[in-house]
Amino acid sequence: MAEISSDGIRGYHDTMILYILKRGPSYGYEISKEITRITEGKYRIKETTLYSAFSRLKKNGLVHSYTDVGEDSGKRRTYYALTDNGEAYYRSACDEWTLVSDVVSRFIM
Amino acid sequence: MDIIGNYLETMFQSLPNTPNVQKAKEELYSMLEDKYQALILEGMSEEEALAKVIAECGSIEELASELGFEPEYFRMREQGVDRTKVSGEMTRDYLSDSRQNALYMGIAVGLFILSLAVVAELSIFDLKGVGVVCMFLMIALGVVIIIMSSAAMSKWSFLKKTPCQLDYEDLKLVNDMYMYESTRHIRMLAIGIALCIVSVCPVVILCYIDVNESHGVAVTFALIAAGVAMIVMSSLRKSAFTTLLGPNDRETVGGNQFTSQKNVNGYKDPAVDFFMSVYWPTVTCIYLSWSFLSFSWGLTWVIWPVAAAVRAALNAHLGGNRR
Repeated sequence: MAEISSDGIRGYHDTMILYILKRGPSYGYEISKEITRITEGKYRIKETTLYSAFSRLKKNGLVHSYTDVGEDSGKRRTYYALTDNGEAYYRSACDEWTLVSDVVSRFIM
Repeated sequence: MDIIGNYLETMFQSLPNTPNVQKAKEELYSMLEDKYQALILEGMSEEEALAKVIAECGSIEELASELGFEPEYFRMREQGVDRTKVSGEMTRDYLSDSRQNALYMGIAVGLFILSLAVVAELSIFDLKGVGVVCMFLMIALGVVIIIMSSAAMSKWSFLKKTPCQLDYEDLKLVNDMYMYESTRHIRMLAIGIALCIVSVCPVVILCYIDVNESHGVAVTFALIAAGVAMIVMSSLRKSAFTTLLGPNDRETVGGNQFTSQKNVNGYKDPAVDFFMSVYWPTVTCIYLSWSFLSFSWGLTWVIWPVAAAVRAALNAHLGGNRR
């Protein structure tokens, strides 16, 4: 089976995370679990990659974070939630992807 | 044993302990822990789950630039800095040597003060000459003890002068011991201070009964000697622990979770820094010059509270103690 190189997918981590956060605030492990589930295990995000994506998104004002206690375990975690800017960024990222996939697919046999 | 924590400490050990690094470490810990627990719930064995969590965690290089360290810097840190590894055994040796040193220093300082008690006591029996000879003998003995003990401790001076590194597990142990012993240190310090305070009592009491006052003076000095010896011992023991826990401030690499937020003394502006470093010596000079020139010692002490107030105001105005 083909493997996804980390260079190839780097630009799309933000889109993946924003998609998941559009459905409501979430925390690290839950997001990584969702990525695995949605891609049916074809892509598994590494924790360090995830954390650097979080801190980049936060720096750019696309998400904000807060600490909360989980309902299930009572453990304190950092939750991430989408901001208005994040919502807008997600839209433009989707449009860009449509274009990229249209362009690149013309070269795929 | 906390394997995930240990793994992260090793992973981060070549990065300095900035608040960002601490936060990343905590976040990653939380994520990996969640994953580990989920895997256990799925029915994996502890070993399998740990192996999977660690294998899929990723590498520090991916984080370095996000945390504000260019990959270049990161590689330099990795190769360039030569850190003395302090093993668990060395830590134990250092602590036991320090304890011994604290005892010797306490005894030496105690001897210095006790020598005055001997002079006072012997002066009652018209043996002032003998008393003075005894005093010098005791001072000489104290000096010999201090020199010998410092020489024995000098092999540990590298702990303060060169960059050192302790393993996560050893550091945890030192911190636990520190917590455990600190109540003892505080008790010792309190008793020492109490002894110094009550030391005036013998003189006061003997004023009212018909005994030679010099007895009271001798007992007073003896009490002060014991008190000061205890204060010295307590603070030296404490400083041995802070030396070991000290290398792990924000200027150095990770491998700890305890003292990263410690403030570094100093000022942003080098000119201000210089001025503040000569502040107290200058005040002392002014005080002594003024006092000797005017001989109004009863008045000149005012300079100290005034200087302290001025310094506090300057500190507040110049942005505090952080570099």
